[in-house]
Amino acid sequence: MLNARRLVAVVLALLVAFTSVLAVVPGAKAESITTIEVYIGKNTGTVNGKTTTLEQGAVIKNGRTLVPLRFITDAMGATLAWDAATKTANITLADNKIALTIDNAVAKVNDYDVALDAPATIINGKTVVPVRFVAESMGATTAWDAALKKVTVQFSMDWLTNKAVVPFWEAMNSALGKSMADLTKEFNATHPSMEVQLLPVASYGALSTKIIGALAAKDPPLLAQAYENDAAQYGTGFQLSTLDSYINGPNGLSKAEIADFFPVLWDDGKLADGKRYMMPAVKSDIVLWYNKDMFTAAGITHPPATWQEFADDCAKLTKTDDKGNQIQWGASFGSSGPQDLWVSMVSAYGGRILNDTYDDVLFGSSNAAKAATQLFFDLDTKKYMHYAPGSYADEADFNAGKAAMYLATVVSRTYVDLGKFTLGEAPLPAGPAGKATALMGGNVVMFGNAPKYTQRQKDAGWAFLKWFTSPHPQAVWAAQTGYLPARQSSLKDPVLVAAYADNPEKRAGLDQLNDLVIEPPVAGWSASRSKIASGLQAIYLGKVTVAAGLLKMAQDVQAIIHK
Amino acid sequence: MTTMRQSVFWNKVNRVLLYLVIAILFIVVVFPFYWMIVTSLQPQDVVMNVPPELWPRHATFQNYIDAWKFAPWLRYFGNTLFVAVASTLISLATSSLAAFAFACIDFKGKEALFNLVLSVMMIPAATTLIPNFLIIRTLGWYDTFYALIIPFAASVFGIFLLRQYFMSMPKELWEAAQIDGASRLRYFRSIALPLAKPAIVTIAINSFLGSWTSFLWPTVVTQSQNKQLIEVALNTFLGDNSQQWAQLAAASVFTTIPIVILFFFVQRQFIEGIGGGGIKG
Amino acid sequence: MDSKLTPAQRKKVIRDNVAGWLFTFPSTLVLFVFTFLPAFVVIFLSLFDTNLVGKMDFVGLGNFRELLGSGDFWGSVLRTLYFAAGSVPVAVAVSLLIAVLLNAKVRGRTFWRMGFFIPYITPLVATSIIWLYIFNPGFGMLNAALHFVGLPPSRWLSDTVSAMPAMILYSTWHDIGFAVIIFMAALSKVPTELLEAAQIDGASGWRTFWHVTWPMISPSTYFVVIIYTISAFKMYTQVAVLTQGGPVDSTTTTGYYLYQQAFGQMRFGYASAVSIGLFVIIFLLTMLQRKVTGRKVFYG
Repeated sequence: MLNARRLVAVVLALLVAFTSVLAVVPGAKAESITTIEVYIGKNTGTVNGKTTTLEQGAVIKNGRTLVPLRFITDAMGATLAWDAATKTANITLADNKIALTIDNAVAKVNDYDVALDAPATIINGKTVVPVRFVAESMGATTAWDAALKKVTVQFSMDWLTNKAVVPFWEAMNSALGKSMADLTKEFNATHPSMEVQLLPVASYGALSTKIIGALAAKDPPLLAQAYENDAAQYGTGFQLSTLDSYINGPNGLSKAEIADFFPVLWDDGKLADGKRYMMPAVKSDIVLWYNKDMFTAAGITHPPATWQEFADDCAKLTKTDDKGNQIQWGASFGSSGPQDLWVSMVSAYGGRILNDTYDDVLFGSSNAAKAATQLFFDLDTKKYMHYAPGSYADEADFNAGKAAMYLATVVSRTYVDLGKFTLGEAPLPAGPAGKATALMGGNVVMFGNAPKYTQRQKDAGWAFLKWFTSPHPQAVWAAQTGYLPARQSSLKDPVLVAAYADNPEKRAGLDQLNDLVIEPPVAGWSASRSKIASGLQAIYLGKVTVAAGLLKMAQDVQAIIHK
Repeated sequence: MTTMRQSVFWNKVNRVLLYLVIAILFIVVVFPFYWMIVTSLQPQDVVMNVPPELWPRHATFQNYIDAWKFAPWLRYFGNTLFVAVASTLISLATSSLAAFAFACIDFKGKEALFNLVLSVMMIPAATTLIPNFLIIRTLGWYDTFYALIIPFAASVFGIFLLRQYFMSMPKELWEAAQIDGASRLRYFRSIALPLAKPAIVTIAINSFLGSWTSFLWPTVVTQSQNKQLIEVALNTFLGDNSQQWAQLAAASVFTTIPIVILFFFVQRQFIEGIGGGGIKG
Repeated sequence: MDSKLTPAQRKKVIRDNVAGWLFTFPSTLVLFVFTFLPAFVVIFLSLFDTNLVGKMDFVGLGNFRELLGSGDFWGSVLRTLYFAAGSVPVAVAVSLLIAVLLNAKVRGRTFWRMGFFIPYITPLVATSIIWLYIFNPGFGMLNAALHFVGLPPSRWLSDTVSAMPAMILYSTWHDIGFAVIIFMAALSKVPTELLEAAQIDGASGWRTFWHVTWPMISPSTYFVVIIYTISAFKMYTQVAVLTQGGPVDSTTTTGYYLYQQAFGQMRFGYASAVSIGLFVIIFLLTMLQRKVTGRKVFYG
């Protein structure tokens, strides 16, 4: 009996130790929140219910509310240092520093420059500062009550120590990842009560698989990059949230701001049910990259404007050495989103992929689809184009000087601009029916209905979305990565103006905004894309004729979407 | 009728041929590793040349530096080591206890239980992938080390092998121990286990290897950066740098070396364990 | 046994029962939760159309009906069988050859053996990466070697016809080490008296092998065949790293198809039905193998 009893005792002891380690659940600490209220036109300010008279009340300038500097800093417990020489107010709270100079529209927050709509100024001898800017830069929240003309600022030191964490899963790597990381760092520094945590994933496929797994495990990120069809898939669960309540909420977007988005990009934020789930933040389209040195050597003076010209150029740019080995192709294709390029070409030839309700396939026997597919097929057969289906193998060919042209999105710039040859960027060639290029990159969605996220976190997630899609960050983003800026006013931002002025070819993607082909925002499109990709592979590998291959592709896609 | 001289000659020729064939096969099998190392030392613009260079004329360590900077490999090594060691130790403990019971203790339902355990071997891992994922989610173990360790805390292979060993121990040992007043547990610990050392080493190495090279399961149950395992991290690296062959080779080299070194030290036991274990009958 | 037990004996029986159950409890608990229970859960899930995040519609046998009529599923089964039929015999033959060669009183046996065994212990992802490079149709080593001997290049992993053979090549390279060890051990256990007796009877090397050695090692051969067949069906990592199921699904094995449906399309109910289908096929295959080879296995 002894040994069995001892064993039982040991097991029980282990269980107790085990569970006591797990048992500690930190109780929700009561946050001490400071509430500050000021009224437009009244000379009073209230802090936690105690009203004091102010020598200067709150005013509105340029649509922004300005409040007395000392009042707000004292109420929040910040330290104020006035530099009379430069007329700069230096505000410090915990680790955060703000520098506001009188009548200067640029302020500094933790070493970052922030543009202000209404600068700090002096009224009646008292310094007033933009309240929303100061509050948010110190980690507080602001709310505007239009009826009472009241601004409410809420603040808690706890929010600075327990920041609202926003996990953001995206597929930005290498140079793109660096830009994203830098911009995120800037957001986190200028919004000290929030912390966006990036998780870059190697590829879009891996990203959507990861999200699916996380959704199934009921543990999704708060923000994620997602293509329209991915969002449609995720949306069939309850965790994806619509964005209207945030757009129309206290920190929302004004009508003017919404109108400032490029309409085609803004519309892309809706799914088939008409509701808005996505924000356009990382949009791109397909362009033609070409090796100018090879073009010059072959006597071609400009990039092809039509697909027929493209075919002719490919023939001229193909070279074999004296032993008969091929050393150069006109273009390399096959790995960088072949299905999206194909969709672009079919549209350029006047064809359609799906019908308006996305439940019927239209390309099965369409002449446009046949012509578009046949073009590449013939070029591949004649070896004027190199079919390279390995991951980014076509880009590798282009970089190694083996192909003169490469069809990929605007974002490929940082991957192909390696200084080995003179790089050229041009819009996609046009087909008989006009110009068409696929809109790519995806949008950003918020899993705001997931129970694990607090309201603070969701508000922070929205704040990031709003900030990232605002004109200046979009201008910086577009200038550094080549992505299309989501806001029209970004085009006036000096950073982007300089980037485009430095190389006007960088506008190639932007100039195609009126020719965009939007992918069907339905869940079945994800599986359809795989079928199209493998169908194209079968055609280009020569396993089926173009006509037969297209028919099979159409049948496969029909089976998926026509449920 | 061959003369003695002639048959000696042919024997010698045979022997040379034998070594030649073995050497050729050996080179063919080991070549990818040589190639891995060579490629990792080449500058990136050389690795896509045709024809490929068999010897790195411009050897450089830059690829190792670049690949190492890509991710917190040390942390991933730590994670993988932790998971491998933990699951190995735990599964050894549970398997040896159970095997001992099946071999040496007469208890009610032993036959039925053992048959049940055997039947588990029939169920392939692919079949249990999705339900295990659900079970992990229900237990709240998603994205935790528990999910990586506990499902592997029992091993049918281990139970089976150790049971063979324990069954081959003479009954007199137990009877003698009982006379000395030893409890079952004491007997298990001080006499049975040490005798089964060869089997234990084999099972331990097998379990460690399986854990180190696991891929699908960690992909499914972990998501945080800080819990990544080596194989999964290497695949991520591949996805992000799909044409950077020199760097990829470097990463492959430094993720492979630890296990090769470890194996070098334990190869004899492992090979003896596989080869000598009860396969006949 | 109808004689009554003495109190002392009864105490021993109780002690033994408790000890027995206690000792086996940790193992059986884990096995129950993570292998036995899932078998029932997967059956349950297979009756639904679910994405595990809210949609859970009962469809009864609907998933199985879809499975039976699914070209993709049966295609994956055929491909997996093709892979098994290709890789298992090749792996067994090659490893047996190596084992026989090494067994012939070769010096430095440990060294050679280690070399053949290294591929088996190195992580699949790492070795898949280097083979991706070797298989590259443009600048990979294999095509360079073919070019060197004047043969035309192959597209290896990039073409539907050659992709699966390329996978077989890789898998064989990876797996032979294990079987080499098994065979070497088995060969060393063949009693030399039998071999000598055969030689005295005038049998040539080949006949000795076929009539004496081969039957004597048949349990090991059988063991290796079973192990390799089962692992052929489970194969996932190589497909995920090397081809992602392509080109044109030519390397989509059932294991990969299962994963695609579950974590790629969020169709967990259907994927569960696929899991069960996979299990049935493996089971039938094992039964078949046992029947076919059962008579030929000689247990000395």
